[in-house]
Amino acid sequence: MFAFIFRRVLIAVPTLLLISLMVFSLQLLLPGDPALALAGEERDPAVIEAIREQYHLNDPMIVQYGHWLAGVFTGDWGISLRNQMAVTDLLLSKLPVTLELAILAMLVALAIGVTAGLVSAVKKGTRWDFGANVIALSGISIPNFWLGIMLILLVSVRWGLLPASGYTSPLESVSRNLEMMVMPALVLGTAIAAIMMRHTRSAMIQAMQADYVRTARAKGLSERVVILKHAFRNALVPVVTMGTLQFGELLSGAVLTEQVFTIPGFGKLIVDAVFNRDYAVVQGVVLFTGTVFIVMNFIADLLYFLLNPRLRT
Amino acid sequence: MTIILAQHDQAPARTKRSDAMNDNVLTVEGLKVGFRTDKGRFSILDGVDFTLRRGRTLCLVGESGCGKSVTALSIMGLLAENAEILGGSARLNQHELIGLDRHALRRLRGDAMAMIFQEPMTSLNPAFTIGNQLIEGIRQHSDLEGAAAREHAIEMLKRVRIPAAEQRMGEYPHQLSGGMRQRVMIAMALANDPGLLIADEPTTALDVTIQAQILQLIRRLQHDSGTAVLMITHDLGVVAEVGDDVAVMYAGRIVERGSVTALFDDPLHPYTIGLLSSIPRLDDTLTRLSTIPGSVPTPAEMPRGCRFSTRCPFADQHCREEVPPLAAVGNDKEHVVACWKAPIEHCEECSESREVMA
Ligand SMILES: Nc1ncnc2c1ncn2[C@@H]1O[C@H](COP(=O)(O)OP(=O)(O)OP(=O)(O)O)[C@@H](O)[C@H]1O
Ligand code: SF4
Ligand SMILES: [Mg+2]
Repeated sequence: MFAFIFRRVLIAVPTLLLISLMVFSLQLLLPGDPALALAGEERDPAVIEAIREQYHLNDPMIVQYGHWLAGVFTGDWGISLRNQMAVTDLLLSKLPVTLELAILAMLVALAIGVTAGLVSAVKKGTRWDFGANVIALSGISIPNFWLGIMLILLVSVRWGLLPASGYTSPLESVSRNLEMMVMPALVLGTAIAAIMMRHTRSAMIQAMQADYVRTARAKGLSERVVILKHAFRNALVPVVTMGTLQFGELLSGAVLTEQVFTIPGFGKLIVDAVFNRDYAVVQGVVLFTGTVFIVMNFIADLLYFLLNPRLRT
Repeated sequence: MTIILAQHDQAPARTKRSDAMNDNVLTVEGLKVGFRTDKGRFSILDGVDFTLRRGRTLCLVGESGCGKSVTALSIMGLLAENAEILGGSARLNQHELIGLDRHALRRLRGDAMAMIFQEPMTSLNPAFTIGNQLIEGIRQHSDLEGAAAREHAIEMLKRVRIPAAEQRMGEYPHQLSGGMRQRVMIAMALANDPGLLIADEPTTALDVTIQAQILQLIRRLQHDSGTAVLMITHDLGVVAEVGDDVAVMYAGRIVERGSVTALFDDPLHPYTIGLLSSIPRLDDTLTRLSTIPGSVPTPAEMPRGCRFSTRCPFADQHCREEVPPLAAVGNDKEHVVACWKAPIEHCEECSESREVMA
């Protein structure tokens, strides 16, 4: 168990370093000399030199990277050029929004995807299966932004049922917050539901053919127990792994969906930062979401391990 | 599974044991089963008949694909979705199983009748402990709950001679060897004291030494409990070891049936004779393995008459046209054979071909 975790951490560390290195190199792509930019109008060589010293710009690249990395670890992720906020504060202010959206979308995805996958596997080859597959295929092929726009046009504009866009913190008003999150969560959730459905279906079909399912039936267990205990428990492993990875992707921010619904999460943050050449923020978002993704990968591995008695014992 | 045959006797066979009046635990008569596939409909079983009495072991032998497992699964009501029962009857303690509804069948499975399978490695669920899987079956068919169910599960593990039974309860299938897993399967099958145990090649996947142990175990447990055993095998060594009676199956039909001694001493059907001459004899210095030439006809090209006629050295036009009935040809009325020319020794036109068989 601990050996397993240790090994996974050993793999995660170089990956994280690689991400940080890539994020750091982003700085080098900055046009012009940063010292010149910081020195302002005067361009006094003494001032420039002082700035170079202060920001370690004269050091070799690897040392600069070391300084930068040390900053990252001590919470100094730079300052946003646009609004002078610390990047860490900016990220922390957007995190709850993206996190909430990701959790809601995941709930939608699991509720629809796993249920539809189960039904279509058990009723393989019937109209139910066919219907679920058609819907899943459309779920995968319909772009999120299009579905989002359609929902806004129908639900908000035509029927006036839900607000079209914007965000209210749940601390302010839970109901208002949910009203605004329903459509984006549905848009993101249904896309993932389709993926979850396909995975659940194939894992369940495989599990239902296993010898142990026949043994369970030979014991006289009810079909419900055979399906939901014996088969589903074994189909759970790929489903959980897939779900965790999808959740990691959601946490990186849904750029288009957040844009369509003007939700102030990571997706919107990075788009704004890119357009404004706010490199520190771009760096911050990439570093953060990259790390989250690797952590989710690690969790997926860990769950895979925990759900698998053969590995665990 | 589709049941085409209309059945009148729908009463569930609740009694686990047959009464003294009738010792027949299982009676199978004229069982016909087919499959629907992409390539059309095929008849797999074409009239399977046998009876199994309390405390006895009937071995069902025949080469791969002849329909042994299909027979077993028909009795258990576990046939695949695309199977159709086209006719016949299977009665457990006088109660008809064919046509019984799902719920009634489920109450019988694991209780009045139980089954163990060929593959001990995959027959247990890898995600649950041995204890969980044992207790689940016990609770399904008895009033035992909690500690009592657990006690009974441990008792069953001890009965199948699993060392450190209590400790094994918390272990997962992958922590056990194949032989140990098959013991767990036997414990699970016998946990509710079934009147009928179907064992579908329970030792085929195991080492020779383990095979003998498992067979002995089944024999001993059967002796203690009076369970009737339907032992499916293609190994005549197994038949000799555990069988009381034997039914030889060929291409979905029983071709010969009788007590093990009668059948081994005086095989009547050319197929049985071929089978027996293909087991290695200890007294032969050179192991003689005269396998029967040819192969089983596919369902699509099944001859109208005797299904063995495509390989039988004695086959003639009559054999190919008419199905030979299963009937006694000698004094032993229990020893029946489905062959127009049996006994071959007395068949005059067969003398030439007899050389071929020898
Ligand atoms: N679901 C199914 N659909 C179509 N054909 C099937 C199906 N199940 C079994 N069969 C066919 O029925 C025939 C009998 O199969 P069965 O499993 O009973 O053989 P067996 O005597 O048990 O052989 P073995 O010794 O290999 O276990 C085979 O030809 C098999 O291909
Ligand atoms: S009936 Fe004819 S073909 Fe069939 S086994 Fe007997 S002799 Fe051979
Ligand atoms: Mg078989």
